[in-house]
Amino acid sequence: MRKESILPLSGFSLRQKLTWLAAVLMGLMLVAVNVGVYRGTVDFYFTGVLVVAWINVILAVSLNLINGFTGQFSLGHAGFMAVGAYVSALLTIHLNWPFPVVLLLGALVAALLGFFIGLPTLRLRGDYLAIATLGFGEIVRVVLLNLDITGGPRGLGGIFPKTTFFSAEVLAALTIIVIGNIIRSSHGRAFIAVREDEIAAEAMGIDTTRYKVLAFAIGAAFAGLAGGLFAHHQMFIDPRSFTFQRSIEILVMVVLGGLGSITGSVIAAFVLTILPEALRGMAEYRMIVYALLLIGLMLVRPQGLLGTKELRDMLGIDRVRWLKAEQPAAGALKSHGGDGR
Amino acid sequence: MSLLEVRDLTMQFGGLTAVDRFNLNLNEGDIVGLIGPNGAGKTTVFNCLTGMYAPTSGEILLSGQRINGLHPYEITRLGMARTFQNIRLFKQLTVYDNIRIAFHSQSRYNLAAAVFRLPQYAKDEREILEKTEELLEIFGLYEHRNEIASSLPYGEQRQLEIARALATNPKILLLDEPAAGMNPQETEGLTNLIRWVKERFGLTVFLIEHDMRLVMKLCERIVVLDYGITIAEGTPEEIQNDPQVIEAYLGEEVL
Repeated sequence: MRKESILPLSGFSLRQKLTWLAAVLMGLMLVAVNVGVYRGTVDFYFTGVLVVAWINVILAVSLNLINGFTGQFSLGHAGFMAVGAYVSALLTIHLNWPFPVVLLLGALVAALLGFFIGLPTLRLRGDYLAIATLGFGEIVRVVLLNLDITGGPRGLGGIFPKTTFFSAEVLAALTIIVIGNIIRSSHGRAFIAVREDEIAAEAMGIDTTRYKVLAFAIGAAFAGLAGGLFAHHQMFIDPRSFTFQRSIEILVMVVLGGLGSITGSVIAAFVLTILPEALRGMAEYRMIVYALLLIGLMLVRPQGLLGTKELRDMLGIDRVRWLKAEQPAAGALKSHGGDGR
Repeated sequence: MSLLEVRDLTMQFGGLTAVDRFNLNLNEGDIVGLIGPNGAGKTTVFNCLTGMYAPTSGEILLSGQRINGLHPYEITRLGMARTFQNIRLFKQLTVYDNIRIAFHSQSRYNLAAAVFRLPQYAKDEREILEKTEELLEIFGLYEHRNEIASSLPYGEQRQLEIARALATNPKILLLDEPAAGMNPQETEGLTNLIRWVKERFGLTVFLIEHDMRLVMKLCERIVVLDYGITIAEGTPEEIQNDPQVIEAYLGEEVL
């Protein structure tokens, strides 16, 4: 019997070793940032940028479930985010309910809306669905602009700043775990099957309508959660925070990271949140540089940074599991294999 | 009671009657062929049976249960699986995932079990993994399990599609031109494969095919369709000598 060490690096390619190295470095950086924020050595401004980055991670990963994994082109993510933001902010302002409760309720209302939007619009495909979801986002914005309770164009102020770096980080991690676990299950494979070939998916016993609606509802729930975090971070929200532009920003993160890669969405959300800040020194040229970087990247890697790959694939974690699962069966396979055909 | 009973199935597209009062009886263990010139309505029959189209009129009974109007996924779950004329694999996914997806309806755990990784998740996933590997072995695709489906040679894509259909645990397997684009040797292999798979899984097979060698060798009964109308039904010998069939295929002058 062969013993395997905890890290069987001998079996890895150079590429995988480098990925391990990068992953470890990123992990260390994450630890350093956490320690820094905890000790208060990271300044207030940059901590704020990091909070926004985590919020963007939630938005990008949840939109990836809809656009990347299920292949439904949604341009309405800012709408769901807005619903979560306003619901949770109003509950905090008027009732002063506990933060976790208002976040949850914001997410639930957004999910419900995602469900009801999903039902009629999912008969549409591709461009038509994109237009319909775009319309939905605009409706949400206009409704918020005209209601009294939302403060109309004046917005909602005086929301208690309850979002911390750590709450945003924990909820982003939760989002990654929940959506990741869904994807690596039979339900997740159903989402992917819908993306790959709807007719074949139906023929394989997958209720495609159910999974499309489900993708919208789950995606909307997490967008609502992100909205809640956003409201309690900014302390002020108005309909301008949730325009079509916002949906596009999230979409850019998803496409840049790779449609169908959670890891890609996380990295892209961080890069695209921090990059404009880092480019601040270039003053008015910074958005041009930003746009050029995006164009350049899309030319070099049209499938996004990671395509559909995940960190675990690149680290070879699943491959190791494959090998372990195979070893006892390897002999048995040969003895009665090949009697087919 | 027959496994599949089709009574006066009619499918109209606007003014065009693609299938006109089609009747069929499939008993358990049957292997029946559906032939006819191009555009005769063969695939339309398949699409009606599998719920891709809602038939204009007529009745389809699967094990005595009326299934017209049901969604394709519901019909698949009731035990009727199909392959497609122009292979419809999940092209960008691995061979392994193609099969795993088809086991979807046999996993019983819900979303919560997936999110929290409950025991039911592990149990079902292990079962799916075992069954997938078994199927891949049977079809000799095990070595290709990590390859992208579209990178497989054509013949193996066809086999994968049949394997994937079998993963849904069907009673009836509908094959839409399984030998299309195959050379004689591949067709020969496919003929044996279909026969073997039918025995191994206790299937009832209904297939559309243009390759007469395959049809004549494999099928016990053949139904001939022309312009949506059933012009003949019988054993391979009867069909080969049926003047109406010859006329439909070759034209009147030959007779």
